[in-house]
Amino acid sequence: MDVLADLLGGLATALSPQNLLYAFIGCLLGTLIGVLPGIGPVAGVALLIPLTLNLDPTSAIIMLAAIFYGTQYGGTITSVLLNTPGEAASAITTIDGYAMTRKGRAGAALTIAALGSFVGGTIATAGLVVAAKPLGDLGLRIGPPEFFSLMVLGISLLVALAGRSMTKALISGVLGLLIAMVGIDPVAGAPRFTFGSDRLLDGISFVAVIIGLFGLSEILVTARSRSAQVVAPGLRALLPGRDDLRRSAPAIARGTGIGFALGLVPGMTGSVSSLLAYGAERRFGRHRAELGTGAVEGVAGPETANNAHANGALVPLFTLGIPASPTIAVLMGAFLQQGLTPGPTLFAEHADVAWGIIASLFVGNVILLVLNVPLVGLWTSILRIPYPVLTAVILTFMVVGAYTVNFTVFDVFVMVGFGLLGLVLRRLDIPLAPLVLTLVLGPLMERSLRESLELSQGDFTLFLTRPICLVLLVIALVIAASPLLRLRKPAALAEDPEA
Amino acid sequence: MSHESALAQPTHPEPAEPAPPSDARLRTGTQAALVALAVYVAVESLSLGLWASFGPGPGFFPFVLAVALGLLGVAWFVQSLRARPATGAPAGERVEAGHAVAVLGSLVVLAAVMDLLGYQLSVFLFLMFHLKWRAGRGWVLSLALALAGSAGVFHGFEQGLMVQLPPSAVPFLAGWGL
Repeated sequence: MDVLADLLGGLATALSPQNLLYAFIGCLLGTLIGVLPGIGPVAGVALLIPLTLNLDPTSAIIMLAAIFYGTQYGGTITSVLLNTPGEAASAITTIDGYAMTRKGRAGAALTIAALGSFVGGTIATAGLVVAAKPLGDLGLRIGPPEFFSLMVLGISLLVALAGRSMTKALISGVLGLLIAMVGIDPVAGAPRFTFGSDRLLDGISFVAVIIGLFGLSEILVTARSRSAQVVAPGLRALLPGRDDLRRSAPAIARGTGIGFALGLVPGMTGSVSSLLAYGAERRFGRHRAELGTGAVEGVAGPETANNAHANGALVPLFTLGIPASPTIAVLMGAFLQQGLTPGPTLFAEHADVAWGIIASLFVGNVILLVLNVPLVGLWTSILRIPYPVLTAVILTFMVVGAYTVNFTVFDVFVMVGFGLLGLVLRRLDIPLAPLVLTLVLGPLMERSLRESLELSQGDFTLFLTRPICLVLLVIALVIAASPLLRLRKPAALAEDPEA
Repeated sequence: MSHESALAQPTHPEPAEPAPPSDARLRTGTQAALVALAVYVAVESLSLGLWASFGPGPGFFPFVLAVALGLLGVAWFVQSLRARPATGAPAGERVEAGHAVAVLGSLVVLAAVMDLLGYQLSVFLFLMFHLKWRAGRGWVLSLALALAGSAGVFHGFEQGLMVQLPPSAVPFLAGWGL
């Protein structure tokens, strides 16, 4: 009953005209980012953080969360209409989605995708509601040593699942931690690695780093010159038939289960969920023989899974303070910039904010459903804009985004520097995801390690004498040693730019 | 790609194509830079102090990271030496050098002059460079978009979001509202 009362209180917050407006703007911007080529969800969310800096924390996070799940649907539009996924999680949708477009059924594909995303997102949010309280209570009972061990486990999962090489993923992770070390030491107050510059005392701007690493480097490696040839389906064509709905229902159910379960695991990206959901349709679907030729199940399953994954991935963030993916890490950075620390203490110290945000996820899913189907024409017209023109506009917004966090041109230089670094890392096949995760977790990880060692008066065996720490660290060790043990991982993760 | 085939691939699949020699130079240079960075951080961490009376000092965590980074840099170097010459290391994403230089160069110039010329004038020139000269768009479209992205964004942020983008430091330009 407590949970229900909290959720109703949260709904009252989320349904205030102001927060409804921010959720609406967030869904709109998120879908736009998902549609635009050359800017993925990670850079997109980071780019828009400055827009929320003057808002109150609840409204700011509501808007950023809406941007986050809006990107998931935006990517579908280009997958279905252009055979080009707007973001990695929608890649598998191109197979049957584009085949449906070639059969003149693009409208039905987009509507079923929106419907599946709505169902998957809503059920996953209900899962978050159910899990939030017990997991949050559990989280409150863990001390700095357990928290440190939990972060080691989260990072080891992401590192093990990122890219093709564990060595390169670890290098990326350590670089992120080192970047996080720049600035005033959080415990002793001593400046570190600032080169005597006052501008670095507060650390390197997180937003500028993310925009540079993900957004700018993406533009640097993409030199397209032609715009897309795309035709928007008419409003009547958007309505799926009764047969489409009947056939999609089991695929949506399977996609929800797969997406939500995998969303809980740090390091698993939405691409894996959508790929496995497609695999499930190939194995269990009644019309599996039609997959690949424009079967509606091939759109419904993966699209449901990727939205359920996006909402499921919020569970570890809200309850334990562990971001499960790079985009969630950016969202966590936004929490921290607003003075909120995601995790068990969030429910104790800012219950109204936490439940307001959770309730807004339900509202946002409804907005996405209502907003996106009629606006397909608008999104397709954006796709007709020549890429060089889009690039120029996106670059301008990157400059504005980097500048407005601290109102200094220095951060624009930081963005350019990290854009170049991102280019080098991409060229060398070093994954970017571990860097983002450790950049966000670095200060928290260092603080919990130092607090733990202060508790034990410098005795490192503390981590081996506390059962939860020991279990978490042993699991992390097994994961880290997985290449030696020749454990396999899904190939989708090796190819996933978000991984 | 099916679920089964996705799971059946090995953790380190064979690269589709060998990396060109310029990649080998970039890789070796990066490995050297990582080791150099590790040495710098380790030395700096030692000067910060590894241990204090109340526990680990400000240099403790960075020192551990520096050691890890150094070891990883060396491990990566050894791995690339041991990689088969026929395939080399996996090639990453291809880059069109001219495009990358134009984007990075224009951004550096923009950042360098933004405080002096102000947001509106510097971004106007930046957008004209990309739209008119690089993308080859017509004058009307280029001017309209450049004005929207410079003056439009400046006033939109100022009026709508109460966010001040930099005005020009040159009194003459500032007097013109730039």
